[in-house]
Parts: sequence; C-alpha cells; structure tokens
Amino acid sequence: MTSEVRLDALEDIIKARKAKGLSAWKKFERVQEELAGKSVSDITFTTSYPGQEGQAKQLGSLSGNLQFLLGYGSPAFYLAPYHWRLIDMNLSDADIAKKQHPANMKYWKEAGLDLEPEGDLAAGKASPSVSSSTKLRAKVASKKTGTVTVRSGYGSFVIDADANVVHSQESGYMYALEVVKNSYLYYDNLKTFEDLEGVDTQKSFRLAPFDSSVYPVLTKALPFPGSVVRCSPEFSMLVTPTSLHFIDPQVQPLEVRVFDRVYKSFDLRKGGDTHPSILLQFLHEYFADTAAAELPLESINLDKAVTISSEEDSRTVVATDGHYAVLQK
Amino acid sequence: MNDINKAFGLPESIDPSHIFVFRTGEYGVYDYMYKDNFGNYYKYTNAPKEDPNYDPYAGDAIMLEDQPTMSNSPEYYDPKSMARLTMAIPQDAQDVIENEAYDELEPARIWFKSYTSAAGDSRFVYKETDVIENFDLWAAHTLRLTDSMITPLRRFSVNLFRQENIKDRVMAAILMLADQGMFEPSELVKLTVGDIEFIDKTVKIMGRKFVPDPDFLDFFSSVTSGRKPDESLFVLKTAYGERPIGVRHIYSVLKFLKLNSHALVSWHLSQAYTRIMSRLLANKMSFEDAEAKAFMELSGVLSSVSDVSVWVSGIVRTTVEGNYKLAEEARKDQESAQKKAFGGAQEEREPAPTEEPVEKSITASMSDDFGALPLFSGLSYKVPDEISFSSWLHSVPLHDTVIHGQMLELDEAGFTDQDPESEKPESNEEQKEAKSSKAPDFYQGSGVGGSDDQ
Repeated sequence: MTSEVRLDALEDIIKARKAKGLSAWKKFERVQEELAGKSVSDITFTTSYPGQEGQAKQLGSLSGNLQFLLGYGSPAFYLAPYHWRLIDMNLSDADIAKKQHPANMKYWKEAGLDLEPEGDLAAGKASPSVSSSTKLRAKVASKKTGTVTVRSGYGSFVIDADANVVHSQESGYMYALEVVKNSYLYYDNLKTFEDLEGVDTQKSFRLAPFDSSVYPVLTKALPFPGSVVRCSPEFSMLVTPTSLHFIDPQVQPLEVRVFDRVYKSFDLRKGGDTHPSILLQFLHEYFADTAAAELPLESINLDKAVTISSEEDSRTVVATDGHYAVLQK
Repeated sequence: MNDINKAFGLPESIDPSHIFVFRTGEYGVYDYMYKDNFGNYYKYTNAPKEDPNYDPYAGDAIMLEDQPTMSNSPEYYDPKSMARLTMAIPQDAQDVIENEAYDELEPARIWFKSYTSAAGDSRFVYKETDVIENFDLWAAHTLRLTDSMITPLRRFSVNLFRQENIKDRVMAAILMLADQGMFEPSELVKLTVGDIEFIDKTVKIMGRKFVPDPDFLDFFSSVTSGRKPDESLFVLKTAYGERPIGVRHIYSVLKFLKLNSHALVSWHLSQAYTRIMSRLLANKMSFEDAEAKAFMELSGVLSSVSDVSVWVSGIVRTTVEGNYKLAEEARKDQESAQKKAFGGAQEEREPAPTEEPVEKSITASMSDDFGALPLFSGLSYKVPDEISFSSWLHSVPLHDTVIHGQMLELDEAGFTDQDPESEKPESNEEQKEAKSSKAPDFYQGSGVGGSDDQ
C-alpha cells in the first residue's frame, strides 16, 4: 500500500487510540494485514456524486466513505470484505457477510458514466446489478492477471480459468469452460487451456506407456500362473504368465464388462492391448489384499513411481520391492 | 473390416485426401474430425494409428455414416467452392442470395448464402467449416442442434421408461433428469440414495426441488426403498452384481441422440432465462435489475452457488437486451407523443409523477418464484414456452448482427420498427450488402421465449 492516499476517515479513531498504543490494537492490525500487498487502485472507485461525476475517490477517506455508502460509487467497483473495514474497523466478518454492494444504478445512469471495472478485481465482487454483464466481465477478464488471450478462427478469446469462463472478444459473449472443451477452439489452443487448468497435455491425448518396470510387479501380485481364481458366483479368472482369461462356472469363455467395455481377457504383456488404467483398476479391486495395495508412503521410492493416466482416471502406480500400490490422486 | 465397410458403401480405410485435425467429445465417447482438400470436415471413428489420439480399442478409423458426403448428398455442397454447407437449400427456396462480401475473417460477413423459405422466412446458410472453426458460431449452432433433438430425446426417454426392464427405466430416468432436471450426467452417476429426499409429493435431489408425476414418484420410491443412504442411486446388474451406471454409458446414449449434455443445460437455462426476463421486464423493471434477479432465480432453481449466467446463450441475452431497448424507446416516443397531443393540458390536470423512491442498497432476498421443477415421465414433446423459444432460435442468424455494440446491422436486419427509408446505406456497395444481409423479421411480435401464462 503506498502512502499517496490520505485515509482521513481513520485519523480520528487512530489518534484516540494512540494513547493506548497501536501495536496492541487487534482491529488495526487486521486492517494492516488485509491491506498488505494491495495497491491504491484496489480501494479507488469512481463517484457519480453530482458535481463530482467521474472523479476518483478512495475508501477510507471521509468523502469517499460517505459517497460510497450513499450509493454514488460505481456499480462496477469490485468490493471485497476488507473494503468494509476501511469504512468501519469495528465490523466483524459476520456483519460484513450481510452487507450488500451499496452502489445505486440509478445514480450511475443519471451521471451518464461508462462502467469500467475497478477496485479489487481478484478478491471483490461488483454490484449484482452489473455483475453478470458480459461486457463488464470481458473487461475484467482482460485486466485480471492469470487470464490468457487466444485466437481461433476470426475471434480472440480471454480464458479465465479461475472463473471457469471463456470470453469472446468479438461478440462479448461468455461461455462456461465445459462448453468450450468439445470445440475446435479448445483443440486449437490445447496447450494453453491445459496449462491454465493445470492439466498435463499428455494426459488427455497420450496414454502413458505400460512401463516395463510395472509389468513384473503386477504379475508378482497375481496368483501363480495356471491357477483359477474365483471372483464371484458368475465368473472366475484363469491366470497365465501373460494374460488373464474370464470363464464362467462351466469353464467356458465369458465376457465381462469393465468400465463400460466388454472383455474376454486381459493381455498382461508390455504393449498388450489392455488399457493400463483399466487393468490396474481391475487388479486393485480383485487382488487388493494379496497385492499389498496400501504401502506406507515413507517406504515408497518415488523415483520409481509410474503415472498411468487417462482423461478421467489419473492414478499413480508405485512399484517397490515386488509390491505395488495404487495411489488415487 | 474392409468387407464390412464395402458392404455398407463406406470408405474401406481413411480417405487419402482426409487429414486428421482434432478429436471432440468426452468420457471416451469421441468423434475424430478429418479435413479434406476443400476444407470440409468429416467425422471418423478413430484417429490414424500413428497419431497420439489413436484409441487402440476403437478399431480402424472409418468414416461415420450419418453425415452428408459429396456422393450421397450433393445438395449440401456449394458447386463452385465444393464447401459443405450447414444446410441444404430447399428446392422451393426463393431469393437465394450468395454473399458477395463473404469474408471468413469478418464476423458480420461470414454468412455464405441466404434464402427465403416457402413460408416467407429468411434463412442464413454458412460454410460448415466456418461454423466449426469459429467458436461463437459453433456455440450458437450447437444450441440449435440441441433444440432439434429435444423432442427425439423425450420420445426416446418416454419409450424407455415404459419398458419393464429396470435397466431401461433407470436410463430413461437419467435422461429425463438430464433434460427436465438440468443435471449433468456426471452429477447423476454420483447420486446416492441419501441424496434424494421425499417431502410429501415433492422430491429433493441434491437440493434441487422437483414435483414428479405419480409414475416418476413410484420410480423414485422403488430405487430408494430398502437401500442404504450411501448406496449409488442408479445401479445396473452386472457380472459383479449391482454396479453404479457409468458416465460413459450415459454419454454414449446422448451421443446416439446427437446431444451434448452441456449444450442441453445451456438450452434449458437460456429458455428459462427468456421466460423469467419477459415476466420481469413486463413489470417495468430495468434490464440490469431484471437480469440480476433472473440469474438469482436460476441459481435458486439449480440450488447452485456457482455463476449460472455463463450458461445462458450470449445471443439470447443480446437479443433480449436489444428488444428491451427498442421497447423502452418506443415507450418514450409514445409518452412524448401523448404529451404533445394533450398540449400540456394533462400536466395541469394530473400532478407530475413523483420521483421513484431511491433504490435501497439492500436488495430483496432471493425469490423462489420459479418454485419446484415438474418432472413428467410421459413428456414426449415440447411445452408451449419451449416451442416459442425454439421457433425463435431457428430463425436467428448464427453470426453476430450487432458488432461492438453498434445497432446498425440489427436495424438493417429488420429488428427495429424504424422506417426503412430513414437509414439508407450511402454507397451502392453498402446498399447491396444491406440487401444481401437482410435477416428474418423474427423478433417482432412473438418475443423470445413466450409468456408465463402458458
């Protein structure tokens, strides 16, 4: 917080309290903490007060507090809880939670001013009367840090992953991120989207290879080759060195459904045609007891960890000393 | 495989002129988009083997059957550019105009052709590639496609619900909840018995209130009675016993119905938005206040704290706002005309209207006007509100006729009541363009979304 702003609304109370010592004053300490790292622009709003239309005012100043509370502040001022404590340090969190944005849209319209996002864009909220405005939100998205602009087709789009929104700069429309995910726009800017979402690009496109170090560990976790394991009254499994076969009680080949897919057998070889995550899920379910599925984390050498993932299913397989553990993310 | 393809008249392998571009879809239910030499997209069942998107469980890539190709549906192609269009121009179409100012990089000029239907409605036609590659168009087009598939979805669900097999009934209930209940399939598969709460004839699912019809209520009772609260609500009998239904299963059924669950939610919220807005604006509420209240109501309906405004179609919001502004202008004009007609005599007789009370800074608490959503197990058609919204949706251009806040295109497109002579384009070229970009007069009269009375 710079010292360019005069918070004269607080002067009287600070003067009165000085005698007791400001250092022991918890409420003041709280305000100081909340303002740490904030800039003047975070507490500055545009007023629509007659005769001063368009002027910048600060919360914490006498005229700023007064005009703001009377509803002359901009509805596009992003009001955060700490702003209320600049107006009245005695307000508790519970009091603040009940407060509404005081801006009055009628005054703003009468002043004929444009809505520009201001205040604390990261921590605050605009007045409900304008908070859903697509134009305002597009402006906020382009000003906010952490947003990225991408191009696709004739348009440019601001991705606000925190708000789960994509803003079209051409039309001003906004879209939920989920809607965008099925589109050309998403795949045209795949890396950007996945970086913003914290997703590994490899995850949704490439399936991690069935690592050679995992295969022997998995086979060790299985019963001895040649054994028949009864899983349920409906089916059993025949274990071979390189595969698992499903059979019915009459020892006839049987199809089972795993993750909506039908299987007659699992190929356990490296490069086999079973999706690793499906196989691991299956083994974990049916051999969890014998495979020491839960290992203490401290005993795991994470250098040997192998991540096996698909779009919907991400788990880390940790191989160590002939055991494996599946750690659900 | 090649023999099967040949038998169905499909390409026996990937067409050598088709290049894989991207994959679309979710939860393992994907379409693989390939592009030909003319820039047209084709859907395949898989990516090429050497591509990282290749799914080893999906078999060889073959072209999906239900899409127009040059050989089976030449009417979908522009004979000059060989570009596939979003729709085939009907044979009885009149005034078919090719957009000479077509520019794929210009939002207002991206439409390719227009025509007047036999019923007298104007329609725009686009290159399908432009729609796919430009997200604003794609989103509007997806909403329109979703609208077209609502009735087939409902018929399909009702038919399934009437079957005796519990698996069919469970799937039908899920589809109905995705449709009428505005749930995402990913939410539905996670539902447990404890998530459903019965209050007289009302059912509360994850905080969302419904009034199901007797058959639906019976179904809910049957899937919850005698079960533990932490058990999955929707289960199927499998080789392992009862297992929760998988999200891929639901997505594959939706894909079969050519539907996308996100677009379905967006369609419902857009439709509900127009309905609420028309009610609130009729009460002379300002647009900003009405919109804030509408979103609060929608949040209440969905019992969601997240921002629902992003799910409402931008083109719907723009149109409602434009309509509001026009209505306001018309009202003001009418008032000033009345004043002139009375020559100030009225002002003497009647006291000047008192200034509206200053709006309080604390707004009213969230209303629950929308109440509980009805759930019908026999709903196989669109209700009147939806029909009204649907007819509007299909007549609105996909491209943005209001660029950067200017109403010029809107006026040209016949949205306003202004005298067409009053704003003539100046140059010949502009006149030509204005004529060719004449949009259907869809917005007058009926309004978007119908009324609450229906």
